[in-house]
Amino acid sequence: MDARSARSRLRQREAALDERASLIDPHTDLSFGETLEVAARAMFLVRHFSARFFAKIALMFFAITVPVTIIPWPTKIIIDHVVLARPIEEATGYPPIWHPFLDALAGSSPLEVLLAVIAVFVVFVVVMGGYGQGDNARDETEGDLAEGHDTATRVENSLHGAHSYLGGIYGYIDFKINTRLTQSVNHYLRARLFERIKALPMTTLEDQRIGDSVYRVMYDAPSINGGFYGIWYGIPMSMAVMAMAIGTFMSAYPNSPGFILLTAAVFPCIFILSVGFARMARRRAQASRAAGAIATSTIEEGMDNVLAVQSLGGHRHERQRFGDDSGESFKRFRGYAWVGISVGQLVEIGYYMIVMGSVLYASTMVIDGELSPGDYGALLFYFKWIRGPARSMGLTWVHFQYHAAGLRRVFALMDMPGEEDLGSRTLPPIERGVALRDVGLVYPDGRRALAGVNLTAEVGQILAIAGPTGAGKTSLASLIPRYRVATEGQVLIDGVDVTEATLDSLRGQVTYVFQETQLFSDSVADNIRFGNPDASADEVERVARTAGAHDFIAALPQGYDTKLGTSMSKLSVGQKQRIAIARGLLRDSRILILDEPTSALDPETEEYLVRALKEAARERLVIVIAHRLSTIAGADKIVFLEDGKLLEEGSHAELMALPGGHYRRFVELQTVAA
Amino acid sequence: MPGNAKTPDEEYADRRALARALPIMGDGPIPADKDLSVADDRDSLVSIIKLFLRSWPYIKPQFFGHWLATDRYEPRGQAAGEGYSYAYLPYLVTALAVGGLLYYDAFPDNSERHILYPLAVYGCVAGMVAWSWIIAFGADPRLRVSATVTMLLFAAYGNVVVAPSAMPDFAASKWIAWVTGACLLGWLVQLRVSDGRIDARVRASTHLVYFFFMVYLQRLIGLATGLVLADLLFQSILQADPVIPVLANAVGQGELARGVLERTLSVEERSYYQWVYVGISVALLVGQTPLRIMVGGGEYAWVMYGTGGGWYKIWILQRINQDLRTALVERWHTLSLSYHSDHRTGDSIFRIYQDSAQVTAVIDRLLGITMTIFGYLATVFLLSLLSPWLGLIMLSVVAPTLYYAKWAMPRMRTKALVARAATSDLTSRLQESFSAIRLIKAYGAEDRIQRRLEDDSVIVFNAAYRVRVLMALVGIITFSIVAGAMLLSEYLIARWAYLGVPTFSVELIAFVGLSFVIWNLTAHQWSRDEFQGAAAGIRWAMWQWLSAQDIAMGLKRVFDILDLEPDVVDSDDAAPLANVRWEVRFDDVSFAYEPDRPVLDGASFVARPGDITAIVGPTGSGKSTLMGLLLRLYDPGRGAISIDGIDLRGYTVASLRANIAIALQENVLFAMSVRENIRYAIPRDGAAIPEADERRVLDAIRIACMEDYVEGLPRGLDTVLGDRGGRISTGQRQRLSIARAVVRDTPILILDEPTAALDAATENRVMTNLSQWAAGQARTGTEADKHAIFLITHRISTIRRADQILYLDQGRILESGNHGELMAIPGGRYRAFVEAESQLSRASRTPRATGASDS
Repeated sequence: MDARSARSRLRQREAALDERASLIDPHTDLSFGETLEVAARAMFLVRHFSARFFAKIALMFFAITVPVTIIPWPTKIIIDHVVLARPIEEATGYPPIWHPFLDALAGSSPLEVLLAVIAVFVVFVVVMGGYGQGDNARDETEGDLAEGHDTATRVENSLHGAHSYLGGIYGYIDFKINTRLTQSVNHYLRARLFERIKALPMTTLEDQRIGDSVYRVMYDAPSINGGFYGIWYGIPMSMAVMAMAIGTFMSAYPNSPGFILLTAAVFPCIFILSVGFARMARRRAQASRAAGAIATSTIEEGMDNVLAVQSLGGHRHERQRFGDDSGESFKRFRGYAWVGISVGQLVEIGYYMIVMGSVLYASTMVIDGELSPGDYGALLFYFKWIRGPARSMGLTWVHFQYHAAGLRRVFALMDMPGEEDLGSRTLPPIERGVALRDVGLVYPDGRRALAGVNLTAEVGQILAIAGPTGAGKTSLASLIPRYRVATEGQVLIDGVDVTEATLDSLRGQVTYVFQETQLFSDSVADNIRFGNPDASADEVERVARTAGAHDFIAALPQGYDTKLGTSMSKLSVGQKQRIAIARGLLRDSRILILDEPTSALDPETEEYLVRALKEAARERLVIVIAHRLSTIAGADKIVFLEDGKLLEEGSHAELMALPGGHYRRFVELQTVAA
Repeated sequence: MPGNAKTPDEEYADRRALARALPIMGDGPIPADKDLSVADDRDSLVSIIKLFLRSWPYIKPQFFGHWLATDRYEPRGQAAGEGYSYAYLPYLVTALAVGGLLYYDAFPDNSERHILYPLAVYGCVAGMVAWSWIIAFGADPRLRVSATVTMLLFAAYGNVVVAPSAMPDFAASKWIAWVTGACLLGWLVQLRVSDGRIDARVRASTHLVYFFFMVYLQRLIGLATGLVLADLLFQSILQADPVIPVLANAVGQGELARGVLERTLSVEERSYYQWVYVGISVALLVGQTPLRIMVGGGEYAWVMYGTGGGWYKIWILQRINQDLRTALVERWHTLSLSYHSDHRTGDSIFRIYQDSAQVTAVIDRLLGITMTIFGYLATVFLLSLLSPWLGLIMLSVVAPTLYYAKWAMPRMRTKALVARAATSDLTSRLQESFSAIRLIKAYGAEDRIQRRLEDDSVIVFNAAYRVRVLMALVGIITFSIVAGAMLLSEYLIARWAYLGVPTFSVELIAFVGLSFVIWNLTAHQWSRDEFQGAAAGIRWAMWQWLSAQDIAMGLKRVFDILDLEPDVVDSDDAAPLANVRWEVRFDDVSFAYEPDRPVLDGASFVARPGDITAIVGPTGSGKSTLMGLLLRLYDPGRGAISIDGIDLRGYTVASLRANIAIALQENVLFAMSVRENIRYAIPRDGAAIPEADERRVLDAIRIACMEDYVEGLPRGLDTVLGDRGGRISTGQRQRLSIARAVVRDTPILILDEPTAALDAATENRVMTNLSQWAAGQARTGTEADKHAIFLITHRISTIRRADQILYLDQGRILESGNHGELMAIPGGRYRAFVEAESQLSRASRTPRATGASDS
């Protein structure tokens, strides 16, 4: 197989991963310009932290300069004036900051000098956690923990990681400030991203897998730190350190400009060798994240539905499914690692050539007698000093790709059009009711759900929506609180088009009780209070009684304070349904929509509930979607839908009076059977 | 709650407040119910090590690999063949050891080597011989394991320290190499004699062993060439000394070798050797590239995020993690439902995803700490040669460090546990919020949910902050403790060097290759560096052990799941259930989730293949539980359930569930294609879908009356459903889950509220199809094709079709019989139930409709 087709197959597989990970964000490739844009946005996003960032840079700059400008000198005093016993008065070559100390020691014996220096060391250790030149005589402060081997398991240290080039009291404070700054940025982006995802329209969210959203907030958002630090903070620091090192070197060896040039070549060499890998690194990093998101979705889906998995005997299947996806995510991380390792090896060889050049250069100068063998060591010391920052600068762009892939996933969702207010009118308290004018709805995939629906319903009424499975009943009801926007016609509440009203004022007055009941892992009372957190215990109990839920709640071990699990609870479906209805009733809004509220209720409970709804409908508009005749029949008005069209409308008696009417046939089928 | 949209200024203020949610540098609050104090710590050194060792089963396969038999009829894998052994090994090793000693004459009498050298080498070889006998004939497996571990530790240490120093003695090296090779052979090859013929099997895929071998090889190359190259550069090129003999001979200039050449090198010769130096260095660098790719190393190995250990290491550790993850998922799904009802989904995701990843750090930590301790002890020994005082100071540092560790470790454990739990909670919060997003929107709870998430997130950061700050603090204090010792030694060494005091053990120092007779500048530098190295070792060990506490807490959360025994397990004599031939019998069955709240109380009934049994009763009367017992999601507290006269506990759980299909009340769909969703419960062998399967799928679709729906889908059966099967109406979901249950074609089918969301016409068709299917009429009509169907439902129209109706209330079966029989009971509960339902309808029925529908 030739390389081109292998590459395109890889891209196809990666595209397939992207699509499986998220239907709403399937195009993941970034151009060079877009990658730059991501970097710029990362900068813009953290503008609230600018003061702290500058403080951090100042702290770090000090921490980097101290080890080279202050710490090494006392060690020299020990060697020269204690071990080699040279008189302290002859001390030369010390920076001005040490002159007072040396002056004060004038006339002391070597052992006295030793004691004085040791005392200085003690101060150094306490304040800065280091006293000598060697790596082991100096401490650095960090708090990194062990991580795993795929993208998702490698975020903890980017979330909370920090580092100080010093130890001691200084390092401790520096470290704490760093940690909090890193954490604040992460907290900020996580919260913002969560806020934006929540604001996406239902139609978008229906296509988005939960696991993918979780992955983005938990594991993609932390890319902000790596992305931000690397570019906006690494480059200036590197340049500052390099300038400092070059300055010191020039003053010590003014005759070796060639050596500096050679050292300076590290940066362009590494940059040129690595920059070509940027796109590859970005794509592999993206694929690794997509595969991780798929694995998260798979495990989340299986676990949230454990009852189904167990009753269908699916645990082996789940193991296989998750095993495949998890294996894929590991594999994709290796794909990324492969790029990283290739870049690393290539850069290693390129860099080594420069090292060899500098060795040749310096050793030639020694052979020619221009430098002493001792100077050779000094030269190499400067080389080491400069190459560190030069290297990190050269690699900045390639490094950034890993984070760019994560940030792209974050920004993609943040940029999606949210469920914004389409109009700015505040809907006044609803007094009259709902009217639909020639309403039609076509789904984004082209299927038609509703066509030419005309309907009015008033506060004080119960409106029942009946019709066969798939007739468009739920679609119709979801137009009222604007979960979906009608593609044709108008939905009016008190004469105001719902698209002109603000979402807050609209949804604040419409309560929707869904077909599938969703409980939170809170207490029963808090679950009921969900739409009205300030409700008193009495009110909670009152609505629970109305919904026929009080008896079984009272029988729970801790009554209303019993904590509920989410995926599985000991409540039966009918019991959950009644809690959901109580929740809807407690919200006390003018329009109450119940989607199949009674499907899992026994007739007694249902009868009770129907009475409660009638009670509720005195000051509300109650809209009920139901199949059960007993629920429908009590409505003031029934609309019969089939294939998205409103076929009949009227009270039960009126509709039953239509000979050959659809509703009548619908009723007869049920009653004949009963 | 109608609120106004925020102005840009307000929004900006909000963002700023969000940016300041965490303190600038201080601790933040953690709610008391989520916090732990040191007093809550139940772990100790031993329990942490035990936690580490528990991950061994997942590491083991990468260490032992599997066997490949040369006999091609043998299976592959750990259990390939029987009767193989390495009984040949001790003879071979002993023979090589004795033979090599005689043949190589490793240490001729005129050797100038120190006496300790031969002793070390003899010791090494003797150790290997002893090990070979133990491993082949030691009866106690624990003895064999501990011998191997000891042997490996000493081999690693002995080889790193002794072998390179013994390098110049090629004879001795060859001797050791032969014996070591023979030992390796025992690891790799086993033999057996069968039918007068010798079969062999070879161990393969022992990745961890390969990996460490590569690392060792890399170190060895680095060590050997590093010394030679450094000598060349510093002595010959820079200072014009003659060239080290090995190298001079290698480039064919033996006359320039040290000891041969009487003068210093000329400028031309030095320039020539500059290029020799560069050539060798570049060749080594390029030549070792494959090794660096595999195991890392080199200055740029860490260049990209997370690739430090090399590709091979990533690959091995991922395999370990993958094995643990999948084992966890399978185990998790077999746990009892009472476990699941008490746990949050996000928490389990975090445990399986994040906590389990800590298993990949176990090897590094165990090896890292062991090596650090060895390195530390070696340095203490070397320093003691120069001055016992230095050794003593270095040793005494351990006491305050250990005392401090005793303070720090429990704190680290509790804080790490709190941090992990907090992140778990945040994951749960996110997962729950996203799965309830519709509800959040409908109830205008966005702001509240946002606040909760932010609160949880702040707790995560506060908890993690404490962990990180503790790590930093322990690092700083440990450094301060060792720095105290370092400064003391600094003082002593400088003083001795100033005074020119003789060193302690001239004789032994010569053995190590140092020529310090008195304290001078070189001795000062050397001993100071060594001392600092050992001190850094302590700091490093402390850091490793500290982070090991966090790893252990992660593992603990993982093993919590593995430790939970499923409530329902197979008994020892359980047999597979093949088919249901004549009956399912409940005999006086009682069950309670909590002791004082019985859910079922003395339920008895019999159901037969071909029958439809309807279970009726008020919400919460125990209907679903009754069926859960049949599936053995729980076991009854009293009474017995039997199939064909044998108690359910006599069957294996897997075979029992394989014979029961269920369509649940909550219609769960997965983000797969429609076909895959229907096939979800069909046991599968491979990826291929047999043709017969496809027919079954189509049959099931017909029975569930879904043909129209499937035809209307953009890509038919291959249409992929959204998350949780989003965008599908409840009625369609319900039919899909009926199809999913029917497609399994099991003797027992349970439908829990199967038709609640279907309109009457569709329901009628589905029920007709189902009753035909139950009676086996769809096909041959033989007994084998009959199915027992259980229906849980409120719908009278559905119930009427049942052959048997059980009326359940508060866990008791109050009435049973068919519709006619139960309606005939005056004042019967079922009759009341039916009448209640009819009344609801009748209340609003028109006079004309009444006549047509009175039953």
